[in-house]
Amino acid sequence: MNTQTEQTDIRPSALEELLTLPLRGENPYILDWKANGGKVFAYVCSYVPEEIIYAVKGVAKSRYLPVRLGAAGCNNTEDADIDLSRCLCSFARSTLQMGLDGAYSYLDGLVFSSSCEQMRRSFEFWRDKRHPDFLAMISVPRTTDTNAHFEWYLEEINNVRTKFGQKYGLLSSKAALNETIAIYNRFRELMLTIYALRLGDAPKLTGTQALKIAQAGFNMPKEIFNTKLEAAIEEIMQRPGITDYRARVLLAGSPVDDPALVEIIEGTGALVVTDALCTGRKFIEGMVDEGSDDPVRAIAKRYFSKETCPRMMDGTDSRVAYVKRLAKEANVDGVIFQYITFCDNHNIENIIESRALEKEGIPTLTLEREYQPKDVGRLRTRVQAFMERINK
Amino acid sequence: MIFAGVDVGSMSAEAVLFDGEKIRAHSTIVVKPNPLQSATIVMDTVLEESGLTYDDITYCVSTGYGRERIPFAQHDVSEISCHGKGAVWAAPTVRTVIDIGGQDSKVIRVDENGDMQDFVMNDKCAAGTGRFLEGIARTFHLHVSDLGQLALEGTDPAPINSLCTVFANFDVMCMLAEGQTKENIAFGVSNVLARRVFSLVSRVGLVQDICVTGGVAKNQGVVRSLAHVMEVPIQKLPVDSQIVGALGAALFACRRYERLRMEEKNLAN
Repeated sequence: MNTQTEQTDIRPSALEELLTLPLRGENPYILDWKANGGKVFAYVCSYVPEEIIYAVKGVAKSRYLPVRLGAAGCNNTEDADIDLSRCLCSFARSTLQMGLDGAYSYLDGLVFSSSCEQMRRSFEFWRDKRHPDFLAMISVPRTTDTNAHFEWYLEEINNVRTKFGQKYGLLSSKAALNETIAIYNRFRELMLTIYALRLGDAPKLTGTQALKIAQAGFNMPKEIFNTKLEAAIEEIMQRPGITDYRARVLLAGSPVDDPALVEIIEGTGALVVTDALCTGRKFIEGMVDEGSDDPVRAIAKRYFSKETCPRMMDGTDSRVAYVKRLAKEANVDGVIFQYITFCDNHNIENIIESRALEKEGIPTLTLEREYQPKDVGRLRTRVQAFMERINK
Repeated sequence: MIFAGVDVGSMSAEAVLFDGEKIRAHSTIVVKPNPLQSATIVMDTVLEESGLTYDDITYCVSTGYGRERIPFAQHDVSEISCHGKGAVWAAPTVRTVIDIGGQDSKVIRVDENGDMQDFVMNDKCAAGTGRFLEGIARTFHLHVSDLGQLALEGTDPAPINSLCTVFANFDVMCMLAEGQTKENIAFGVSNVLARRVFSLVSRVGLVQDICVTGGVAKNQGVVRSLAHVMEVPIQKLPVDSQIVGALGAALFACRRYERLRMEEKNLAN
């Protein structure tokens, strides 16, 4: 062994770095981006295509970085509760709280969508209390089965691009869009590899670790993330698989961007081997057509035809079939559904989907939770009982 | 051989000693702020009553909210599995167990061995739990254990609309001011709780026989309302309904000990 190798060994490995990437104002990639004159925009839901933000490339100094709005680590919502009642979703309240706390002061703007009413209405308080430099809203249609609805969605996306152009005088070129599409497709391919590594009898990483990697992906330029992830995958392949688990589970329901919840679940001996989350599998499945003459249309198509969110009026059967397919593919022993208190869409969807799965003999558990899972005891009891149900 | 089960809940703690065939002794206390303290006191009590010591316990399983931090227990099982196990041992025809505790209510479907097949628990809300009754009892300046008898004396249930613990109390105060009798209000309160629990039962599916465990099972007003709302008889248990969780834990202790011994034997061969 020469001294050079020893020196490089001191640095954290790519995997280690992705698993421990600090969030928000302490994230070195976001700080670098800002220091180099770049702008950072947060978006709220997987109906906001990251590509249209990332593709804006004028001069080098004005590149745009999309990050997904989250609130992992938020401890209270007392300021947000002044505007958003405690009888509303704690994710909407936690993200607003982080905004009011100044945890997102580096943001140049936000792109909202009419994904769910509670997140949509939090837009007004971001606008009135934080006054971001740039704010846009994508009105997402509630049905996906007609061309007219698709054209509406496409127009909404183009409106955001125009708004960026009017504000900063920059528009994404066709070449830049196609280049971005290639980067994002590579990102999806690599993330799907992470899922594939969890399929076998001895998964290579826990659900908590997989979520931490995904969380890093939401908060880094995808070009750099892809390089890190390639190296991390090499590392993961060398690791022994995990065999000391009690049951393999699929996690579904409300968005999960905070590893704390998965840690509680896995603390009972369960291993989350796959998911049907909009912050997980649904976010990365489905490629955008490359080399298209109309790349914005190609991007919109991918986002509009991916597995839907229960906020849509159609697609329930498809979502049930989707969970069944993933459950089978990952050979799970059970499915854990969860919804954030007052999340109407996922609460109702949990019931419909779990009934359909139980009918086919797949055990399910439904958890009601707060965005910040502080009631660990309550959650543990339910998951432990579910483990006991699965293996007597 | 003595198998022990200890159940520390949010309002009471129970311990059961099981000798492989029957319950040797059991004890119940009101919980202390610290679950470990509660577990130790209730176990000390039951051992003392039966003239035994910790050394006489072959295997101990803990359950309830403090279950993971009981040093004298070798294993912990969720209270959901324990209530199912205990109820079927006490009444073998039971297939659905309604456990109404201090802060959680649960409906547990079990098979003939008492193994849990499915369960559902209340939402994050005190309505439909023992806390709901405690609040009402406090408004009446009564102990919660007297509420059941009061409800049985009611003839015309007062219409309580709010399922929220705090607002139901508010409704109750208004009704008292309007001259409603305590008996009819208690009857109305039992009906509200029963309807709430019935919606949980309907989620799992009602399979007979059905029994009620936990502290609230002692409230005959609630039991009457449950039978009325569900339109099925409630199976009576031949044991104290409050010790069913601890009993289940003791039964799991017995089963786990036997399984471990079997494994050892297989390894030796």
